Amino acid sequence: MPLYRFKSNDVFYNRVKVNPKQSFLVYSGSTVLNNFANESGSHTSYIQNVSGSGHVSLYELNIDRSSDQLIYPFVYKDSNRIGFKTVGTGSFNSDFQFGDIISSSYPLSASISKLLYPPNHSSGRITALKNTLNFYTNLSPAYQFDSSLGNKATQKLGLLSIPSILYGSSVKKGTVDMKFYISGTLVGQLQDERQNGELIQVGPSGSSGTGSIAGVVLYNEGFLVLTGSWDLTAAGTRFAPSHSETYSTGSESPQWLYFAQSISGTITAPSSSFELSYEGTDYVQTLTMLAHAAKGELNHSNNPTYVKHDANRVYYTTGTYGYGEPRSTDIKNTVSSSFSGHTASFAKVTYISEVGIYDENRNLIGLAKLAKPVKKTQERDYTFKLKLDI
Amino acid sequence: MAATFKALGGNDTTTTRTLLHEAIPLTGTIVSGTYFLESSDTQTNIKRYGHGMWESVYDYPYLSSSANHIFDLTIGYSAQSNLSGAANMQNAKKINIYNQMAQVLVGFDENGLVRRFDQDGDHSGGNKINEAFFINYARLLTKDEIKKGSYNITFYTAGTKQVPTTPVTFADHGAATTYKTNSPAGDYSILYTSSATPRADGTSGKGLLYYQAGVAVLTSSIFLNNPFGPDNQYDKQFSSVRACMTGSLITSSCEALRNLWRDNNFSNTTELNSTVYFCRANHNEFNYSSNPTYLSSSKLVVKNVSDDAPVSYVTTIGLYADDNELVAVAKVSEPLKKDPTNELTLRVRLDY
Repeated sequence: MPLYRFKSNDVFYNRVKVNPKQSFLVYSGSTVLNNFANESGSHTSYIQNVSGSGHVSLYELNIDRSSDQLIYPFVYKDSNRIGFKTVGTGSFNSDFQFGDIISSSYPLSASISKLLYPPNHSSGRITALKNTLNFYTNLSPAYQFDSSLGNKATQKLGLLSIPSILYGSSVKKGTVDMKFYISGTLVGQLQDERQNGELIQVGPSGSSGTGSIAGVVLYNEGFLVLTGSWDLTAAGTRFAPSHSETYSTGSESPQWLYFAQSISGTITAPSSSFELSYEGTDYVQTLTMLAHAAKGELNHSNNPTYVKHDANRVYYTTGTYGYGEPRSTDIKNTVSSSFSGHTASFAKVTYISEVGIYDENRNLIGLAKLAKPVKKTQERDYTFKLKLDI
Repeated sequence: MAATFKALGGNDTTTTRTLLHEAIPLTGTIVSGTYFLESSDTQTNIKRYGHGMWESVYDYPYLSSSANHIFDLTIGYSAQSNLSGAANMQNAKKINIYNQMAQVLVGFDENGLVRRFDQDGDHSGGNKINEAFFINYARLLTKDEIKKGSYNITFYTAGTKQVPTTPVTFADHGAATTYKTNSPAGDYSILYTSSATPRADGTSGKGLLYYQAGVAVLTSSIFLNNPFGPDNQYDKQFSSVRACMTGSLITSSCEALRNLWRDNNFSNTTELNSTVYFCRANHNEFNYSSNPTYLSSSKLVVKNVSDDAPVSYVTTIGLYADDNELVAVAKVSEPLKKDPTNELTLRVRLDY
């Protein structure tokens, strides 16, 4: 088996940019991700063993397993001092001896979450976003943490958080779409149509607040900061008379900062439902290698079946002073004749079934297999394109 | 951002390897019974193929996108087995499967012939496993390899279909420290019924477990004296492992094995390779910052008195390539105060 060195034009890197779309439907404590139904199993009420169908399950291993039969990860505490994030530093140091098993649990799940901050909240979580929000002020003044448009440290606002597993590197600009329904009727729709992070009410026509900015999107961080506090069913608009139900503490009118307020189920808001969709952005690095099988090369095989079978064949001889193999062995002619009873002229034919990738020390580090072996004759040349996602 | 770079020396970099394990339970309820569809008399989590050479077992009906492939199940016997016979159902396929598995897992002898599975694993003679069940676990479950010494599988070996009895457990006892390395497919060990010292003549082995390949090979003789057959033959007089392996389809023997499956537990192993960079800030280093907020009106904002020692707060470590390209960034959970009175060593771990 000969080895060939890749030339400079035989190896190149690509980056594939993908934009997977995600959609959430929130209604009265239930969340549905990508219209995936809440499938009940034989051993669990929900086969993915997560809180509900709005969650994505990492690895998706524990399908329809009872709670005492779950797959779980564990490590032994050793000098690498690696544990699980669920085990704090103090517990790691004091609760486990070296050699002890530190275990965690599957499934690990994630979903969107919503928090509502009352006026004068002074929340540390919102303050932590101050620098980030101000950083994007060049995109839109609506990002400004404290301006004539409002002070986010003290104004009433809603914060919708999206875990990065659900968007990748960033949320794609111009793809955020939020819909607010009352009793199944669309009363408000937000989109970042200017692609500058502003969530602008774009419809439906005749609705209250059309054209107004109801919040901003932090594309790279996965947050939607909602500040729109106008009544989407205000008197004099298409969806009047004004609707009211409990979104936080009392009877309130539907407002954008109450979007997805019923996600936890603590607030039911039975007349309200919410829809959020967006596209994430992810990058897949790809290594492409071109392996050439030139004419007149790779026409011999060391496979034992490459030589003609002979029951009396002596493969080797050994003795006190030496080791020997036969000087010549007939190669099996696999060329088929067009005529019955005749043997075709001999030609060297091999079948390429796999391509091995070696490092500079000739260690085999990768193997590419063909779906079907390809016939290689002296006259044929091939180029095999090997792709590796990295 | 620091305006200076500090080169990492030979004592500042090391590599580590951590083994992450997962405990995998595979109970009998997964492999048979739970997803039985009466109308078509089929198990919806068992995928069968037109060629009939093996069946795939899923943890949920395989038509669901949630289902995970957990293992493939098949049987085979050697052409030298007493069971081999031209009149057998799928005789050639059963021999081919045995040879295929044997050449991958056991390899070839010095004459270029496929070795048979060896009961004690020494290839030097002794008993061969001529008739075997093959359990090929999915890579999703075995990851890099099955953890040595963690495997056990239990089958019922007596009773009726309705009330199976006499569970017998086969395990890789002692494999954490002693295992075989003479297979082209990697490490393997012998499955025994108990942790007692194996018999010196090597005849106590009931199967072989290949750790990196994720394949368990079980001798059919473990059911030799017990009822054995698919659903429609289980309780009949002629249902024996011998009759089933010769007179039934491969999938019928697989079904029979699944019906007797009580429990299977093992742990897998994933190697996590890491490079650790020890980034050292000596007492006289990194006490200033070029951050724009570090100065106000040409004065250090963190100093009140002009002759106070300089002070900075470390928030981020950048790792740069030889050509000063930023290739990685590590952040600390909270800024660390750095002044001439202290030194910091920050341990940056890069997993890959």
